[in-house]
Amino acid sequence: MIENDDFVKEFLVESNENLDQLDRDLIELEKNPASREILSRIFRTVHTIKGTTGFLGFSKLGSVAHAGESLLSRLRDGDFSLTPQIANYLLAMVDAVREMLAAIEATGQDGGQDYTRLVGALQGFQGAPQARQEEAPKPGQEEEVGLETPSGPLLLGQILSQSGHVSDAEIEAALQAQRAGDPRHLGEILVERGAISPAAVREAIEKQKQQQAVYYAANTIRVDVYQLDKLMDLAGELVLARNEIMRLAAAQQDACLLGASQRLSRITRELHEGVTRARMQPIDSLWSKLLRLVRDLAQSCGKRVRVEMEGRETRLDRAIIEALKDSLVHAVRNAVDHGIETPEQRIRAGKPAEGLLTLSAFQESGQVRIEISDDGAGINLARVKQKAIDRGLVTPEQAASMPKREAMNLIFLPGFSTAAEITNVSGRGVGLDVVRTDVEKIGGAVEIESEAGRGSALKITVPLTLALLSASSPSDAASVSPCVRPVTQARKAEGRR
Amino acid sequence: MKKLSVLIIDDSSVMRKIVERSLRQAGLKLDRVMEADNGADALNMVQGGAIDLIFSDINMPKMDGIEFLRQVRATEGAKAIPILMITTDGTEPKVLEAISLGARGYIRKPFSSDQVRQQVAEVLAT
Repeated sequence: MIENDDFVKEFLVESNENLDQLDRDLIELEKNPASREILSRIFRTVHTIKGTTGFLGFSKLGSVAHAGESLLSRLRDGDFSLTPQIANYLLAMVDAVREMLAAIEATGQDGGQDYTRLVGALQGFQGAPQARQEEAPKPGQEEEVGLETPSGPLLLGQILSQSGHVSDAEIEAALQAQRAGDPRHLGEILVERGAISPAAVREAIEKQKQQQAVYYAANTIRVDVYQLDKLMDLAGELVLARNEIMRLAAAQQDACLLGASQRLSRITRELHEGVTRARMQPIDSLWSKLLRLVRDLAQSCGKRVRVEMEGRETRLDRAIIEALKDSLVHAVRNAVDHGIETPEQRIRAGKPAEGLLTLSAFQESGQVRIEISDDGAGINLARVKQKAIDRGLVTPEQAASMPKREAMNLIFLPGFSTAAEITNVSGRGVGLDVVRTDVEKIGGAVEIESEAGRGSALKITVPLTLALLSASSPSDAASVSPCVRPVTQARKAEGRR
Repeated sequence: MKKLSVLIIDDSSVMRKIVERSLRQAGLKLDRVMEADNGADALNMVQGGAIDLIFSDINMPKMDGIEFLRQVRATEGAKAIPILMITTDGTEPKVLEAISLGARGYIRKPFSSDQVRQQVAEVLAT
């Protein structure tokens, strides 16, 4: 056997990444049981794990993966099609694999758990006998995207120029305006000048996105998060040192020193921004985990929930994503558990049997807005007010004159929702004060909007990064020196998570 | 023995490293080791230069090992490069298909460096 210690770590990283995708794929497959593409992807992942365990000597992990693989291959061969029961088995397999990977990471062994029952269930599954269906060939399905990998993602200006919709002179003029301080996007400036149609800009942006996706896929490396955090800390320290130098230089009246320190200042700012960007992750890394939660919750409370996501590629500092994790889990849990009604209730209310949970995120001037909304029962405002009065949080007079929006947000107050009845009847409230505390801790804000009978939306606004300290150059020397504390605080805040 | 340039194609980076390690442990002198995680990228590499030996997984995204084999065999200047398939199951129909398409053999996971040495020696002797 091959010496393998070096491979174990890499195997864990690779497998954990694959498992996240697997969760997502299995849920997707439940919706599109006929998709060969998803099924092959799932099969491939399990197959890869199984193939590698043989070398690394994790026989228990190997046997679970093998059992999963054989069930998958029968699905692939059309022996039976995916039912919620099979999906449960397969998800249980994913959980078991995840447990063993965690055990391997902690102890180097694939754990003391006994999976014989799971293996038996996976292998012995006979499925409901079903007529094999001949699948119509779908030529489009396996089509390769015929994109060349570019040497780097093109700038929008370059793409517009290549498209021939706008002259280079116009683009140059717009870029000139940007350099002169026009804060708008290139496309906006060009459209406003009448140099190009909005449709052509949209087309170019679409093209740019595609190219970026291809580029990033081919030019991405993995970096240890610890290294990145360390770089971030150092960049923060550098900003402080830079501020100190700027302050001293300003007092020296030395033109050369001033020039050099300004250069240092600019480079420091760019470095800080660069490291910050490197730490950003798409919010999808968090959302994809929520899909599984929604699926399991919906199943256990007998509800049907469809999840839609917008802005999955929206990027946030990973520390922010970490900090938001519990809040989003909480919000999604509330929405499925209390917000969305059972299919029977929904039909009686004239809604489609399947509830809709929408996760959306978009960037808006240095901040990211995240919304978790459902089309469920909504919150009964009168009950919220009554509860707040009962708990002594507001007086009846205050409650009566309170605008709707403020009244709704009473549910974020600590001590508001200890009573179960409110959550059961009206939809929300469990521990929302905790969500608010968490979000505010990272400099964000949260509010809720709700319409009885129509659904609720939790709106979270957070900064793009956790840097409490602006890296832009200090405007006046006096405000500079007491800056040592924020970085330490920022580090503490991150260290807790 | 002359130094070999090999191309290892597998969608798992761990697997690619395992193959490379076992080649070295088998005592083969390696000149260049190239890696690809799918058949399509591998095809570009094959067109790029002199490769003595290719190891290819079968199940891969974008372009699987079978299609890769088919395309290499139709590529002028690359059609004679010996290809060994990596598989977990020698009885898999895909393995037979690969052999019929001109793969020179297969190694079965988990393989030992001895098995790799034997396979490679056989391929290079003919």
